[in-house]
Amino acid sequence: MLTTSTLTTRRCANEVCAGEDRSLSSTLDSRCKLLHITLEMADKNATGDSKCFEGTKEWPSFLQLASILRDRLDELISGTREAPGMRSIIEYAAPYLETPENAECSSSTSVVGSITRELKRRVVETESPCGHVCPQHPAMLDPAVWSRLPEELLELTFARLPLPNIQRLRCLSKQWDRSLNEKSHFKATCAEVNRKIFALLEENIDDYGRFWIKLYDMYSNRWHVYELILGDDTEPFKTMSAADGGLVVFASAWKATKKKPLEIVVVNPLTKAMKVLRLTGLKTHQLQMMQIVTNSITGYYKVILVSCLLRKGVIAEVFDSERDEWISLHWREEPHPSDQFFGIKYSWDLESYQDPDFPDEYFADLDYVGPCVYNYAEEKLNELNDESYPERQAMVVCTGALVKDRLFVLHEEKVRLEVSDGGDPGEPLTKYRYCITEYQAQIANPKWVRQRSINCDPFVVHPDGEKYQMRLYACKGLLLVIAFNDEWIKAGYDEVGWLYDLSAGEWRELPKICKSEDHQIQEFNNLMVELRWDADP
Amino acid sequence: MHFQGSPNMAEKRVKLISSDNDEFEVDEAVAFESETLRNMIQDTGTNVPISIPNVSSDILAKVLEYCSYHAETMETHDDKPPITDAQIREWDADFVDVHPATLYSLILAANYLNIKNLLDLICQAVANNIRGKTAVEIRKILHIQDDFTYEEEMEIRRETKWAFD
Repeated sequence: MLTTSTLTTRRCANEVCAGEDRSLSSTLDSRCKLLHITLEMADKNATGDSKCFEGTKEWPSFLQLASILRDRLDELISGTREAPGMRSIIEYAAPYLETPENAECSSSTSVVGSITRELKRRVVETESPCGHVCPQHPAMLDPAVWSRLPEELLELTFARLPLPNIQRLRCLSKQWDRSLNEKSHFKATCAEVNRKIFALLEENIDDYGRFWIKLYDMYSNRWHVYELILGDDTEPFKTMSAADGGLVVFASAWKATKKKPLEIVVVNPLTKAMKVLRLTGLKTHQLQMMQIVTNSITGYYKVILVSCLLRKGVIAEVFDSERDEWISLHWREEPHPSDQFFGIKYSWDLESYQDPDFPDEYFADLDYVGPCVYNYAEEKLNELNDESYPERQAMVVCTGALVKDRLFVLHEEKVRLEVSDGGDPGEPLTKYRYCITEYQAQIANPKWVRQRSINCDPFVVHPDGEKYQMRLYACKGLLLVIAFNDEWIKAGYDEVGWLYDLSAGEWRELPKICKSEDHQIQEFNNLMVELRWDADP
Repeated sequence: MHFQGSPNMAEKRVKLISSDNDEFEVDEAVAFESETLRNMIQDTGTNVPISIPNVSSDILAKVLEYCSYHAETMETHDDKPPITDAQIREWDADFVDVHPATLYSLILAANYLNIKNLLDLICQAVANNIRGKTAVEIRKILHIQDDFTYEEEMEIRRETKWAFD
């Protein structure tokens, strides 16, 4: 039996050594298997089950394999951020780490001992940011007590875990995997219990069809970054996106060859559930505005596409998820308020950009026009211009974040400061002060009506000599302000963010956001998205 | 056994009987913290003692301690400063710092009696204890059978990589 294990170990080790150019995942698997077997053997050896193993001809080769393993693990361990499988290894090895003292007591297992110690240290480090490792309450979660907990109460409890922990429940069993993947009572409970959760969605400019999801977890006060891949399309294309109620709709249009038609995908960025909308019979040509509106009670949603037809004006097409089909928009009576579609209007600059990789073809660039509303009666897309902002004299830092009929605008005002004693009285001090104003759209005779000002206490004044770039995002009930400047970025620093809860009226400073691959933030390609476990495309 | 809630004697008192036949008497406002008791009282009135067959007296005493404190925080007194949210949070944290077996009985009682805030409090306390646990440990605690093959589990870990970083 030992011989078999050793042979397997050797085969795995050879695979690991030979597998440099193979995908990380498969080498990672081998590493895990190898680790599993090695630790199992160390365990057996240490507990005396197989003392005979020591001194046999197998022993030197085992030691050699273990040292290869240690080197490989060192590579992984040295850069935890770059080692996505680190936690998997640790978790997989967890059962064997419970008695590290035993492994260490045998001097001949020093290689294994050092691996085990290192892993143990990593486990402690990995766990500590999450709070409880819980050696202080070993009896707190006694299986004899808690395994009897009714399903319903277990769900209520699990729903109160931090977001990554909820996501990790998929690994518990097939039943829990299904609970998080399919429509389930648990996901509804999570949505009910889960406070406001959101992510920032950023287009990966270098890699078409790929997006960064920067998810903020309020419980652990941490950002998590992962990739959302819409397709493996390598052709350049432009993406328009809009979000509501935990769902994001993407329209990928104007590929270089134009052979592929427009593609509309509805995604839940949290569960990564995805639905491609069939486009049969649609007239959609040059998309000008797109919006998604979800019904928070039924969970059904509508996607509206407003396109420009040559010489025919504007046409609107609506997908109704309840009927699972495209419906025509010819309301004779007044539309229901929930059917009002506010959105961002874009225009296509057809020859603005020539991709050096596709010299024979042009592809259109997407220009931001501004907030707009679709008018059913006139079948027109009415722009809601800046001109109606009452505070025109103030400099608009960020054209604003739109949530349904509300627009939030970040202004910058020059203010004169009182000259303090000792200051030069000849030169009045001026500083920039930030302020956010909320507007509501007035539909008849479209314009913006000012609702209120939101103080920006945590970042109200520029620090001296520093000029920041600011971005304002909004989703249901929340505002997010991100600040960064070029100096920081060059120096390798991260962005700073503040979150404003519209109902509580409170700012909260967020931890710095991990630097993403590309910092060319394009205002309209980034979106703040409300996240819901129970939103199903 | 008498349970002293609020000293306001003008209020109606309610009699409750635990599973081991101990009798508790509380103000109606205290009992009303429980949605289940509120419905029963509205059906039968305060004259009939209400029996709670699946909650033992030590647990019922704990639950009523919670209810009377929270009923009290809702009252305003001219002579006393109002209880702050921070004070309530501190009291709550002390309240759930009990033996796990007690916590387990409390979660069942809070669920049966439908006391939403208490149920939230206990669920959060248990969740806080679970949050540092690995999948292997959680399976052990809850007696969940690991029915994945090694490959299936690795596949899920790859899909949800961000949650493991």
